[in-house]
Amino acid sequence: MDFLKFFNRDTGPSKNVAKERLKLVLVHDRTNCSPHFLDMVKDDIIKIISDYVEIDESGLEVKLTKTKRDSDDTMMPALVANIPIKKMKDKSRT
Amino acid sequence: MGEAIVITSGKGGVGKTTTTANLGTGLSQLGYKVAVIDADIGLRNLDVVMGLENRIVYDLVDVVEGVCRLKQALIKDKRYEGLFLLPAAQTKDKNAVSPEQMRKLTNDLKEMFDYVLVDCPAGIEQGFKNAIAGADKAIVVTTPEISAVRDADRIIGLLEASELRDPLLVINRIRIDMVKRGDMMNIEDMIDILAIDLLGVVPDDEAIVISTNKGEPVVNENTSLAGQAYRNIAKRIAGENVPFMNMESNESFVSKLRKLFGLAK
Amino acid sequence: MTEENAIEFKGTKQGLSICIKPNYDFQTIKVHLIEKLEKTQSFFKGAKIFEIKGDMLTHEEKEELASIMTTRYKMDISSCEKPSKSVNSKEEVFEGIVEGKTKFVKGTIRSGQKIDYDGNVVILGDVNPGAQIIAMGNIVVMGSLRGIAHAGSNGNTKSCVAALYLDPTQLRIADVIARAPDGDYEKPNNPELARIKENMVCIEPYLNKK
Repeated sequence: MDFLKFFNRDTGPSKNVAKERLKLVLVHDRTNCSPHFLDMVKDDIIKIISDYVEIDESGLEVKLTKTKRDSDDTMMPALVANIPIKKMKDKSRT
Repeated sequence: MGEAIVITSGKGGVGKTTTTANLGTGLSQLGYKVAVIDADIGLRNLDVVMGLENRIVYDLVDVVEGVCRLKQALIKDKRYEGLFLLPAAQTKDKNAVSPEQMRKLTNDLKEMFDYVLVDCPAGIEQGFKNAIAGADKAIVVTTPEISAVRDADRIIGLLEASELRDPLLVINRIRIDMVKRGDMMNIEDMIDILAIDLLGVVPDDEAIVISTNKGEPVVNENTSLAGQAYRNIAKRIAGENVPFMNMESNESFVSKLRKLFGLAK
Repeated sequence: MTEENAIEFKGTKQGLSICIKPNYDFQTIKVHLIEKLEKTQSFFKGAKIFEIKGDMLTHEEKEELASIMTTRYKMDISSCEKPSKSVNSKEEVFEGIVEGKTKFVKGTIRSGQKIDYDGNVVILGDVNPGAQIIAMGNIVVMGSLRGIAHAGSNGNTKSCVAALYLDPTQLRIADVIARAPDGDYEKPNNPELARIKENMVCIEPYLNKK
């Protein structure tokens, strides 16, 4: 948001703030996604990935954002998971 | 056979009732036979906005319960021959009517009128379900505020889930001065987010408050910008191709395409 | 002996009135009804049922009883539809407007509220727009009457409506309806009384102006 301050001395045009906030809220509304849902996703991801790598469960972060689709620049909701890895597990396990 | 259009918004206070009264009046100015239904049972208001509150003897619930015939409950407008109001009951609540009964009622009215406009209550509960039950089309009213646009988005999703596809958007209470300053979302911003077709834009206008005080829809006021905007919207509903007023459009406003997020729901 | 009392048949001018006593479950009621009709089958055949009374029963349950009586025992139920409403409209005109039972309501009656009474009504407060007062007798408002008032609701044309400030959205006396005039109008600030004169609602002061 820093570049906005450049245009408007004190704060950026409030409509841009409104629009950004609105878009984020709508991503959640439209996917009908509750914090509980995200927790469920998180738990399952931990379960599956733990078979292969040792992860830092406390640092794991799952959130909904939006991102531009490569083909036509349309905004798409995206599920982003940030998973800190402690170390790789022994491959012989599989 | 007429067409039933529900006017809805999700959020309260964005101007559903004012829009219903003005579009009803506007369409009857054009010579159509119009019935406006107040579906806000328990919190009726369309009657006072149209200035017909002292003529109510029977209401929507009386018709549904068979206390009176449909024609007995219809109140003729003060000015326009072809305009009638079916008022809501004030002493009952939303559960006094079922979606099935509303569907029948709207169908009966469609036999008698060219347009049947249903003023939907705020919210997404029983009252909303009743109001949209008999509708062929939907108009979503919103204002340039985060809360109103968010609720409009939710409503559009619910309408689509109820087979009311392609609702049209009316943006109410826009303030050009604030839009120019960048302190209010502009039309393009909202179309971009909601991704539905625009039916019209109504500027914030003191004349609305004054006309509501008097119980005479602002669409009758030739000098009022809001009145002009409502007349244009009425014509668009009737199928005329009316260009957007200067204040309605803004230089960068071109796209009315559904695109954002690629999400239909 | 209690068994016999679950259902009572009463003859009235309009037909049979079937009273269902409370505190019985629906199955017992059904069994009792069938027992009772089995015993006296030929007697009730073709009998006209005027109403089924029973506060404990739902509409569906009443329908079920009705269908047993019509299909199995060939009783006639055509005239019995909305029990509570049809009874009310047939009641006699309330005559107690000079001296009769009266309900006093203290406080403001607000939009959406409705006072419906089979006698005279006195409101110790205001009646706001959107509120409704319906009385079989007179209505007296010790405050401002801005809502809807219906006096003589079951047809007494001699009933009246009085208020300290009488400015109703709509005024009904018996079956005559009057409404406030359109647009601005002058309203005297003194108490007024409305009653029917020559089939019109007529409003006049009831105190000499001071």
